[in-house]
Amino acid sequence: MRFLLVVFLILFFIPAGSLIVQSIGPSDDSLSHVMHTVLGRYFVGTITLMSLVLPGVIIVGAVSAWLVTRCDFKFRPFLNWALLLPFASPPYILAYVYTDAFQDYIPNIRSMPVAALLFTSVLYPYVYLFARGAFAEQTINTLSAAKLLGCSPLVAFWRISLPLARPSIVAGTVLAIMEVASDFGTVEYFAIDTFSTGIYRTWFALGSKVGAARLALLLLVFTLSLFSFEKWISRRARYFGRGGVAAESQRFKLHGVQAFAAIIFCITPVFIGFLFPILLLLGQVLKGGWRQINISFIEMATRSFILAFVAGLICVIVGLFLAFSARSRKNYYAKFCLNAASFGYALPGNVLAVGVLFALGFGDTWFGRFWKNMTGQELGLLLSGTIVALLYAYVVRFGAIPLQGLVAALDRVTPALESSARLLGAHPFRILLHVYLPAMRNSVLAAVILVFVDVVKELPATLLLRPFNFDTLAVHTYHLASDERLMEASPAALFIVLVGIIPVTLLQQVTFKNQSLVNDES
Amino acid sequence: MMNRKLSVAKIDNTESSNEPETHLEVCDIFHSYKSKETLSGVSFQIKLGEIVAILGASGCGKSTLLRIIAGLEKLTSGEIRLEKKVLSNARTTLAPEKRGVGMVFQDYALFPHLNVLNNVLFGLKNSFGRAQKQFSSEAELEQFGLNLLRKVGLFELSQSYPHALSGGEQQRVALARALAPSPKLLLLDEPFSGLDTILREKVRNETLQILRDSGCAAILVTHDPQEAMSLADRIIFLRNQQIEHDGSPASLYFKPRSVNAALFLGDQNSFEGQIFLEDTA
Repeated sequence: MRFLLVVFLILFFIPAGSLIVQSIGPSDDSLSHVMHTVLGRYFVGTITLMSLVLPGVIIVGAVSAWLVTRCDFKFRPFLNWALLLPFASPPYILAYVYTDAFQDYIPNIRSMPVAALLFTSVLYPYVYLFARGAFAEQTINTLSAAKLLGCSPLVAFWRISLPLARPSIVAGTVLAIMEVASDFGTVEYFAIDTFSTGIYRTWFALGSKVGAARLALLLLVFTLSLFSFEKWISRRARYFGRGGVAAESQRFKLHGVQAFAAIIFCITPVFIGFLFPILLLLGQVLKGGWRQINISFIEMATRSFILAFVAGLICVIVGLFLAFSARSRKNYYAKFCLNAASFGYALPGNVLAVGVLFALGFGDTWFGRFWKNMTGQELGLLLSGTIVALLYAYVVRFGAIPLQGLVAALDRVTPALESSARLLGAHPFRILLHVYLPAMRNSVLAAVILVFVDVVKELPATLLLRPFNFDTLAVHTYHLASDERLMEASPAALFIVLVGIIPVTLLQQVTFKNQSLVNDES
Repeated sequence: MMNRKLSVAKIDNTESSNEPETHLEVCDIFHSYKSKETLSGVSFQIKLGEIVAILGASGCGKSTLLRIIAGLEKLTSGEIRLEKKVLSNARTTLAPEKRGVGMVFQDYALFPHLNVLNNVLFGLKNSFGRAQKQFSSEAELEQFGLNLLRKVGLFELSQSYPHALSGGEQQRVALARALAPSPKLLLLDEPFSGLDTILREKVRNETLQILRDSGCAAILVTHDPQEAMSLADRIIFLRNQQIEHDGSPASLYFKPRSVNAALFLGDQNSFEGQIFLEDTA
């Protein structure tokens, strides 16, 4: 058991470790060139983009969350759900769609402000989701107290609701910013200099592995600090008292202009981030993109789906193992592994891909030499450029996704439940089959789906690690879109967005369930 | 189940001439958690069909004692025997599933994904969810479960799920589930604490009736003296990890062995004084 945990731990840290090893290699000319010329630009580019997205996601996310939890207006229940929909659109697809639609009218559409706008419109749901949860948890008594002390609703929002929700809003914002830092598809398409594009260029245009590794390491340090900050903030956010009647039950009604303004405010980001791209893609498909749906397209979709499904399955099995090990209180190793695995989420796709490539490169060369010494035959590359490498990267990157749900599901099987099953004579195998499995079935299913969708959307790691001639839906879309052949890319892009709706619906269900639980407690 | 009931009846008939033999023996057990002693030198015995209440304030070790008897917790030293068979000592701990001990948990721990009937039948099925050998068919098993539910007055609710039941009904399901495999000993951990005051009295009387009918020995853990008084044949008062009083409810009420035991039952008028023996010589 402990041995297996150590193996997992090593596997999770190999990509980051190999980056460190590679980056302490000797400097070459191109590296000093990078350091002196473009490094500053990458830094400024990344920071500028982030600081443009930051206020956008906070304002859109927090205000819309407050509107749907505290106010009542027409279409509110629909908007409550629809505001999550932009989660389904990967930013790179938005970039392709908007460029295609508007480049004739706005010649320099591929620019920093537009990129920031697109990022804002697909990433604000992070803030929305967190803020909505925080607003919904605030009890009616807190707000009544504020009212009795003479606060108007807006003043109460400013002085009570917002400060109470602040940690959640910050946590959501940090996650959104992290996505900006690790995005590759959009910035590459818009030719914006960021660390993410820098890594790719340094390696493939300048041929400097050490340089790429150093850039990747810098980006990793950056995202890891953001990620740790988010964890820290979230832990603090937990102090909020539950219980009491949730304030949701007393919304104040908006009429006329106010209601209209609220609807417009909430529908705009949904429109930019989801409805408009979907409509455009649909238009492209109908205009001629449908001709692309042939045998090879179906083959590619099937390949993507099988790959994503297998990755989801492996993630869940690893997650179950970690969650079960961490459950026994004394197993500190497992707890540590649980935390370590969650850091995989902070690895930007291309950083991870570079790390995996280096690691497998080391491994293959070493094993090849060993094999040659033993048998005298050349072996070639064993794992590099195979599906195993790809799956490995997916598990490191997305392994954290199922963990939270699985751990929560395990917690639902209280110790007393297990004890009483044992006292009724059930063997451990039967307890697993008849007590744990029924309690966890939904979480396991949800976990597989979540990983599945993320893998289908994943671009940078797939691009770098996929076997030769092994196209997935995302890679296919990327290739065609970079050649400005959006019409041909439209079926695949539409598919990716539509698949992305599944986890959004799941998310909505889960949060609804939690909210009704909060209400039940009171 | 039938056989066991007969044997209980036999013993009951011969009680006047012959005391029922010792059923459970707890011999000088010690237990500590994180180097803090939770039980030190606890010993008592229970006879077949006897209902014993373990009474004490929270933190006195009474729940730990119950978990040790159930096999959910290991003891540091001492020995526990049931029908002369060793269940636990310092070296070995028989797994809870092999002890034949039933337990009703404080929060009832009903399986949320199974309906009332299947909760009750859980202990009578094998690893594959089929009826155990003593039942010739699934139908017979189901009939057995339904009969049991009828006895505890839950026949109509056999297809309901735990979350749809009231606290009192949940408690009875938990009781029926624990009694279904005919345990040699039934443990009840604060089984009425989740019920409101009015309901509590009713459920308590029903539980007592069901326990008496089953003829099974039972240990009830509670911090409520009234509950212990009204239910138990015998009360063991636990304080500071040790037994301070062991005897009938009347003996605890009229002749408590310690000031603390007396105070635990309610407000008392206490006088300090000294007792002198008169010199008769």
